[in-house]
Amino acid sequence: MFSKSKKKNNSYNYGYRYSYGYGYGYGYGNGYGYDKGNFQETIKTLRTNIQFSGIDNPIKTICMTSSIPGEGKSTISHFLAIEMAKAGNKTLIVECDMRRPTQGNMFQFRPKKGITAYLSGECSLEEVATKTQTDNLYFLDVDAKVVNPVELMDSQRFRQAVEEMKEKFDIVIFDTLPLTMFIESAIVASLSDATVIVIRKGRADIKSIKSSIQQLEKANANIIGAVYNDADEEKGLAKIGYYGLYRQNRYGKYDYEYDLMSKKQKNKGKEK
Amino acid sequence: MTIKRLITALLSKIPIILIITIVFGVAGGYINYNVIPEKYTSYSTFYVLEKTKTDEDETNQTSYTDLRLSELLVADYNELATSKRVKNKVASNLGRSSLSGYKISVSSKENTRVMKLTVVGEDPEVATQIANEMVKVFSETVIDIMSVENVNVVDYAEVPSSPSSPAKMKNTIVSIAAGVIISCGVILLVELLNNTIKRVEEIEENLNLPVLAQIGRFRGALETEDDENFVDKKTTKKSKKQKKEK
Repeated sequence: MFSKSKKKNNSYNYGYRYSYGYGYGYGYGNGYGYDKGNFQETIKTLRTNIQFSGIDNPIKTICMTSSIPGEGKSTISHFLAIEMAKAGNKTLIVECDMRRPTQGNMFQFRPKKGITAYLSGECSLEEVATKTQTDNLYFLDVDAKVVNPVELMDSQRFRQAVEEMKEKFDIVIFDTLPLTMFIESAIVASLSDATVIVIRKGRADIKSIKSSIQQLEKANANIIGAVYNDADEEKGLAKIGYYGLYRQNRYGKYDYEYDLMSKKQKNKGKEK
Repeated sequence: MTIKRLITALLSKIPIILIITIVFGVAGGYINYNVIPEKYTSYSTFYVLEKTKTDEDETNQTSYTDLRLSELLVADYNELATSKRVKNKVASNLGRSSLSGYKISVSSKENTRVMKLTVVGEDPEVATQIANEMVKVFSETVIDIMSVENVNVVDYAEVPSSPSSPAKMKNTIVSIAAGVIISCGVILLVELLNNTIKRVEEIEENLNLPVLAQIGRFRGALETEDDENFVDKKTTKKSKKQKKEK
């Protein structure tokens, strides 16, 4: 799926692979209302709703945050970035967690130079934002070998950096830290056009979410909404009724993996 | 809406409730039927005849005070029946070393002067013997000490056929009910104390946040391409499509 890109992208490979499209509940809905089984469609819904929220003031920077760790914002921001890129926007996804970087795992490569190099002036944005397998999608990672994780969001340099990112990219997505643990995400949220809070079923309690929302409001963040992760499938008539059959029979099965395969693989069978 | 939430929480945990109920029922049943020693009750009833009064006008009238007297005297008889003098005499008459293990008490029915001597113990035959013997010894002692006219036995003690305690069936049912109540109580308590978000409506109601997307439970399949330097073969699963291609 990903070609070996040891020297091409200034990167090295590690980690386990990740794919989506196949999954539990191979459904066809858009995830809003009835069918929450198809992961890909739900991310597309998120993308569309974010764009709808920005009709008056176009949204360029999105900050994905949550109240406690483990709510799924890394995964969601990763695939949201993929969907934004596929829609034609030049997207940059920025990893803000220096202590536990996750985007590298999901992309399966980590660039040699990261955000610290960029902020210290060593590299330019073009050098550090590496291309990924998806067209239009660029990845800005934290430096791989970090001895002392430093608060880099506090600096004035970071504000300038965000401005530069806004000029050069259509959409910038920040995958930040949980709000109850670190205050950095509030700073990033104050600098971004839109903030999305990820809430997972059965994880955070209402009190901590409310306090994080208050924190964001103090930081003058524009909270456009929440993403509900780990939702239950809709039970009852919605699945077996007219709607369910209609979707299954008319639209067929969409194979996302086929879409993600490189051209070479698609033509593999045909050539022979 | 909270009632509906509590009911759904209970209904979703029916297996737990059943397991705990069965555990309680089995434990209660085992304890009641096998562990607790059975006790038998044997009793005899008697009537204490007061000495006749010198004044002849009052002999044939049983006044209210006479009936009240029996209540007050029950305590006296109780004390006498459980005194060492009576107990030792009964024990020696029966050839036993002591009457330990057998609980002896005297009671009276309300508003009557008929007294009931009750013996509770593990052996029904022995309890009956004790009850009967006790009445004899007791009557002698009472006549001696309290100078009554006579003690007349109404009913002699009979050997009880079934144990008086424990109430096995009743206790088992109570333990089953306790299992149901305790398990339901614990489940409801956990649900009420749970502050996390379980439904989408809670986000919209309590937090006033518009929900941009609901993402279902996602378990992605691991990638299937064979890349020896890259992917650990033990952790990958081949998808059906790859298997078909091969």
